[in-house]
Amino acid sequence: MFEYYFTFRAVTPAQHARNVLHTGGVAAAIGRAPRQLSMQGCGYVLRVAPQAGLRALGLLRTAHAAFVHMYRVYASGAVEEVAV
Amino acid sequence: MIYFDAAATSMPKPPAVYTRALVAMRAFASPGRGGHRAAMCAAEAVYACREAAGELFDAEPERVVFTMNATHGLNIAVKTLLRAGDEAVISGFEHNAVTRPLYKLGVRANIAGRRLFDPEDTLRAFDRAITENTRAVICTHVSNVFGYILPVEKIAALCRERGVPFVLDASQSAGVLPVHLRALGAAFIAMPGHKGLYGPQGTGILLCGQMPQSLLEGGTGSLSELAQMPDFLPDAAEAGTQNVAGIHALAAGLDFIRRRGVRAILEHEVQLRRRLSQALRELPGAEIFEGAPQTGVLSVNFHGEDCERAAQRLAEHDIAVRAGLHCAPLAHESAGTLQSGTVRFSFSAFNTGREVERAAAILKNF
Repeated sequence: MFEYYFTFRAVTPAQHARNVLHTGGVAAAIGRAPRQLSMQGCGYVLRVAPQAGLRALGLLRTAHAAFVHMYRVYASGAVEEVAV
Repeated sequence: MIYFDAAATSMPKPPAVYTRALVAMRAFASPGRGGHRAAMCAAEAVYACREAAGELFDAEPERVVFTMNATHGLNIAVKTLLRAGDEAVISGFEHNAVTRPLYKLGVRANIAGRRLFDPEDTLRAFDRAITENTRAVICTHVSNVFGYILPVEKIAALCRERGVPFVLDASQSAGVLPVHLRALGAAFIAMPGHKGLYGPQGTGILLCGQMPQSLLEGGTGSLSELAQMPDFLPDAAEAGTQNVAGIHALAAGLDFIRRRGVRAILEHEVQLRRRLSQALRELPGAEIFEGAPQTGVLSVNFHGEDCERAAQRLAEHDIAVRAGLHCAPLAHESAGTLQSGTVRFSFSAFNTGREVERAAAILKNF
């Protein structure tokens, strides 16, 4: 089991992206980025369910929402970057 | 008290403004720093205000930078665009919030348009003054002394045609006139939160059409490993913990404006200004500065009486007005009132015709 994490440099772009996803019908929760995923110190993530990951990616790209990376984060804590 | 000093700060505020400030102080922590509930509530409140401002002023939420006041925003704009020895074009009605930063930087200010209530002349003057040496044009939307509405849409168009950055001081227009970042194509638009937006003092907004340089450097909750400030909005210009209580309360002020409508607020204030002016015309020797286009701000002088003494006499009747130079000596110089100053009456959405009538009755006995 995993979740998709979209990482952002700050809370404001994460909030903007969250609203883009909500408008597109994709639920996403904002949280702090795990230290290993935060870019140059501190950051925020949008967490998206596995079945909505690709749709979320499409919505964010269309809206030019400024996410930095996309990851699969497993319940075990394992992380793998999704090549986008 | 009859409060006719809304051009300095609006009072009272919509009730939700007071409530929200208290809610934020009790329940909200530092936005954009933590992930716990109180921090995220703060972050959501700040973002909601960015969205509300973005909607009202036609800007993306990220382009809404929170400042302490309009002066703060204007300083960011001026110090981003200009350096010592540069030339800027400004109107003859600018506030010290514009002229003092220019003076401090050593910018040569070319003053364009000094005739009151003559937008055609103002536009022609800007047309002549903007040259290939002009590095920025800075213009107030409305004179804080006289309520004169400058033709900023046309001045902004001139700037776009000639590729000169345009900065709008919307201190007296935000909340009473349309102010649109995208339509104006402005580099920056600065405004206070505590005047026509009905927020608390200590709040302001800088709409950024381009990337600002930071006036202050410090923590932003983002890219913390870097020595330099983030290079993206709004973090690039928002160092340090924000005024969350003020911003949350400001959002209630913006909501009030959205529901009441900018046009309706302007019409109400203009109607009050006209009623007062009509009453003042019955006073022998009253010099009334009225023309078109004009907001609900009215400057007056009473048959040679010292303006501060006149304001003091009004204060003794519990009528609050502002006298003197209004931090805008350039505007007074343009209007020929630098020596005398003026007594300024300025209205808000909460003033009533009855208040104007009471003030007029008192003034008749002056």
